[in-house]
Amino acid sequence: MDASTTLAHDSHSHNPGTHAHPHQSWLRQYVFSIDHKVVGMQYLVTALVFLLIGFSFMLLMRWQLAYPGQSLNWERFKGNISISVSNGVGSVTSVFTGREFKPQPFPAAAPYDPAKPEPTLLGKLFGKASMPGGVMAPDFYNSLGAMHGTIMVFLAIVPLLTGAFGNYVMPLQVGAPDMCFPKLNMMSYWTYFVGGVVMLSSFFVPGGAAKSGWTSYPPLSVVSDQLPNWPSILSGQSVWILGMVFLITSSLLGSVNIICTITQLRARGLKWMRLPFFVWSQFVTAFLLLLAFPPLESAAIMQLMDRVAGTSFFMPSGLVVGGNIVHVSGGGTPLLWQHLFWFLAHPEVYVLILPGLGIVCEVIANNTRKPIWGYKSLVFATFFLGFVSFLVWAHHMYLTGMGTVVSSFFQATTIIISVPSVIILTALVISLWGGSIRFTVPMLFATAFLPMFGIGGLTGIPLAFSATDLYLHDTYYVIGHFHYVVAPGTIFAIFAGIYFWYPKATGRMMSPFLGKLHFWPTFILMNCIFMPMFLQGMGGMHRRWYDGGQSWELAKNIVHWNEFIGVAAFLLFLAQIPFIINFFGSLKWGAKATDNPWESTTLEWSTPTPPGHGNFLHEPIVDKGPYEYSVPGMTRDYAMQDINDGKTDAGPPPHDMEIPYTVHARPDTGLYNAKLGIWLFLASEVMLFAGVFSAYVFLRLGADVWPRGYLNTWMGLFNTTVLISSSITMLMSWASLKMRNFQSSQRWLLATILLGVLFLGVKAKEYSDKFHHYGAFIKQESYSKYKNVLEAEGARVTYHPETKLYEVTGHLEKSTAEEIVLLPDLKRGVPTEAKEVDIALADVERWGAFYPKYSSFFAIYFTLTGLHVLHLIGGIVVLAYFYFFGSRIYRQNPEHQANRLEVCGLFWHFVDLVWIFLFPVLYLL
Amino acid sequence: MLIDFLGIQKNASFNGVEIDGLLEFCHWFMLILFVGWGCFFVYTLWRFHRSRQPKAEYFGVRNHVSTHLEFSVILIEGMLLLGFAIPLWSGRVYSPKDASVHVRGIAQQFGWNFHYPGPDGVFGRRDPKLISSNNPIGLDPNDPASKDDLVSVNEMHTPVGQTIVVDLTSKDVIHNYALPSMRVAQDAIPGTMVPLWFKPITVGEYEIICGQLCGSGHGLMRGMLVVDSAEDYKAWLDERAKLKAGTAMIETPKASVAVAH
Repeated sequence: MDASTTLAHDSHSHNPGTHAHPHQSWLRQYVFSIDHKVVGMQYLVTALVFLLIGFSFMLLMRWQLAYPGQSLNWERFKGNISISVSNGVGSVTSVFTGREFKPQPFPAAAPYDPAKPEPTLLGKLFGKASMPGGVMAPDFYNSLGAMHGTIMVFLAIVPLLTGAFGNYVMPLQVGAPDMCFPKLNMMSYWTYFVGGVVMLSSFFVPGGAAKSGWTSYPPLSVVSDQLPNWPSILSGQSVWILGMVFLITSSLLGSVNIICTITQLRARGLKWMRLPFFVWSQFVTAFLLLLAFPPLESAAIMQLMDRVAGTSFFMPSGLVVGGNIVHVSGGGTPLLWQHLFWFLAHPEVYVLILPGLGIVCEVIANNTRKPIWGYKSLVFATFFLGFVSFLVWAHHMYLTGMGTVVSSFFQATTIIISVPSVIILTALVISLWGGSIRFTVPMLFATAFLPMFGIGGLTGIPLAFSATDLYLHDTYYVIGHFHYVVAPGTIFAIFAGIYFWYPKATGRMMSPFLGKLHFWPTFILMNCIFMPMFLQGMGGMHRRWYDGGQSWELAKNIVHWNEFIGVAAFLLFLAQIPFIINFFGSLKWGAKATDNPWESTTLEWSTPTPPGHGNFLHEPIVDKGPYEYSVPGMTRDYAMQDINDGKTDAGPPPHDMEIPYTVHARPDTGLYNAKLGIWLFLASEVMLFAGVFSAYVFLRLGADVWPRGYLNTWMGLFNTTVLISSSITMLMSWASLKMRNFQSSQRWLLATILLGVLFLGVKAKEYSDKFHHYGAFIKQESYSKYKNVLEAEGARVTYHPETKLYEVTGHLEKSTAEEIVLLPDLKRGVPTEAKEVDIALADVERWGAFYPKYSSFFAIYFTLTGLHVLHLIGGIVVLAYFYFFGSRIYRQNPEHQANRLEVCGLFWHFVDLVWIFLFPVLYLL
Repeated sequence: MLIDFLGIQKNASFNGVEIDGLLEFCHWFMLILFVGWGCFFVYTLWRFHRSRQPKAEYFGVRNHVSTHLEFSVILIEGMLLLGFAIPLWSGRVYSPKDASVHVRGIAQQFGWNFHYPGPDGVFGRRDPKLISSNNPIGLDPNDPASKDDLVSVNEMHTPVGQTIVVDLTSKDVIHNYALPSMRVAQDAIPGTMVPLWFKPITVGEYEIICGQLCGSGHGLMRGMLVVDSAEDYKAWLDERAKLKAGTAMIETPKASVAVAH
């Protein structure tokens, strides 16, 4: 990376606009590229494909809703659509002519013969279980629903906003040569890509993709997709979780990168309050992703444990599914998942909208030719919005049995969060006043965004109050509400952004004619789709009904809207064709773009078009705010932020377009890049462990008996000492390097690694002990048989009042089909030796080793310590790398190596700190 | 009425009146904001089109009208919150003292079991181990309190004009007992028992919706609330009790829904 960026300057001065420097292979240049612009384009194209896939899923569902139970094939598709259109036209004209209109009926479905090969393409693609004869099965409908939500949120919109625009535009706008950590950036894209592939592959596992909604509420998500002859870890819902873990990881890497880039790589003179609003929106968004996603990751890990390891984080006792008792230890709570889920998913809503507002703000300023009204209030409102978005999550849970106090709190925060939203929207609308508005294609989308986002926001009012939410909760009203925010809202902003920055990225303009042909039908059809949903919701139609409400008496007056929405959705699909043609065709046939075709002010327009590796041909220096349009007294109606005023080859060649502050601290922040990065990463780690720890609190408070004394406190204490010592040796290693004593540093580093390995060894012993220790839960009615023997011996017996079971633990001596032989654990202070006890299996409710599924205690013990052990292993691997290969960097740049050790040390100390917290919580309390 | 124009289900309950009032007010508020704001928006787009305004003004709006508007919006929202929404909710979640009918709603995939305590007013003990095809809620036959208990599948009867309390729970996954015409909805969560109350004022039949995705049959998980006159309600209870005595055991549940596979 270092070598490549230094070389890059030469290629620029000879050939401005070269995409990447010529010494790289095709693979490194376009596939595994570390250039933020290539990564941004990769994100853009991949996420647009996912947008189309998510949309297609919705079209399949809309077919089912409009024409329930009808086979989806080309013949019927044409037939039904034309019948629907002629019926629609007929019934509307009958209103005016007054003549009676008899709607044409749909032909009856053809009989399905399962013996014959699948007649439809979709039946072949998704299999007999999903689309038999082209007719959608209810489970498949639920799969599509869950995947539509997941794909749209996590694989399309967020990657478009933060991955594509955040990656491509933001570094240019802050005048940076690249993202702060280019390799991390590449990893973040590829992790996202793998996550997407994993997600889609779940359609082809037995049982099909996840079918419990994008919210994946347990117990449904835990008990569904459990097939008898297929490993649980590879079933639909588990694959969904694994895919989510990839996506969350990608998001974390990306958000650390975005925050560091904005903080550390701002050009000279680009003070905070001179940042374009888009950069601010990325900044706040990145913080939301950084802090809100880890709790969901912890929840995903716990749900995976529930599904695969049989734990009961989210499973209460006494579940009976399909007439069969679910044999789990119980004691968990389904609501914990909802809290952790919405703790992410509400900030996620603002992740979906803030960068959209950022794009709209840029486009409006540019096309009104005047500064944004109330720039400062926009910035502060955004910060406030980000902060409060962490405090509103439970307004998704009003119907879970919430009391007055809690619901009042969340209603109040929900109303409070509307304040910054109103401020932002008002500022954007008032910005139009006094402008000289030109309706370019980006401006059309940005203009349409405002009322659409307004409708989305206003319809949130009755949903914010728990009393009115009683009626509207989970109806189509809610669907309409959030789609107005995200679909004609954010997606319009995304289109505006694509049309706006396309010339910078490709050097070609997109066709304005095709753009308008894209905009107007899209605008009208979006409203045709989502406006009727408010009526359906008002009429009481609930979401996730796979027959679209056809069988419900209460929906009989509103069910016909499904047909209207369905046809509009198919037309919306057609309306995207001009965009697709425009997007690809303009690459070849588009008019050549100048460096600043929109006559814009911000720094990205001071680069050559398209920008080459390293972005700027001269060092950008900023001396004014972002939106200096129509400054009084100026001849031209815009003044660029860059002091060179848009002359892309002005000034001396860049003295240093390498990524700055990799080794030495940036004076105004006092940090070098990696140090800021690791602090941000640790903040997200705190949230991750806090997520699992909240499960500990929930489980413990809800438990009738919390087990004590199952863990070996002395071993734990020993391990605590080991880790504390390793922190000291780690510190010594770094300090030695600071004093330029490499040999001594290496010795301390080796000691740290060995102490880490020692900890793992002790932990392995502890784990294996648990797997050899057994417990049996004796039924209350049979307990009298064993009572005397056990009491005489002084065995430790725990009674569980909730399940009415007596728990006896001990070393398993022998087990047969009829009985088990235990050497029981004795009470503390009992002097005798334990004698074997035979327990008939007929008297036992359940028994097993101290696996995670044994009880809530072992579930949380293994999850928390397992997560900690994984972190420790990660730390050891990195330290070992430095131990063996660190001397290379040290010889080149000792300060750099010291920095690396410092950053790793911070992580190491954090992992130690987690243990120091876990030890008393699990072993002592 | 704006919400009637939008097609809201007819309210059939005493407790729904205030909720409808708040819904009505919210929608007028939204409409006024949207229309007022939309007029400004459209006028601005027309007035400041490049053809009418070739040169933009650097400063734009210089007055503070918008601040006043923002504050009024916040004020109205705050008033709605403190004056109506919170009191309404606290009215929803307290346990009414005048409750005359107490029912337990036990949800399962994909149907509703309604458990009536019978004349003694005490619910019999339930045990998940006793659940079978003809004992859908696992009622313990040896518990004296359960002798007169009644279980009705997918059909709930209540007398008109009385306050009804329904304790909700679930056997398997999370469901939601949604009754649009009574303006009530409450999650049925396994492992918990959460009450809700309503007071029907119109005799009739109302569909009970499952409002939370619960699996393949979710869309067809329907219960029926029958609001009877006092006499009809008593007759229904008697008939049920007779039926129970006749079969000696709780009735066999009908296959709750037919799910096409």
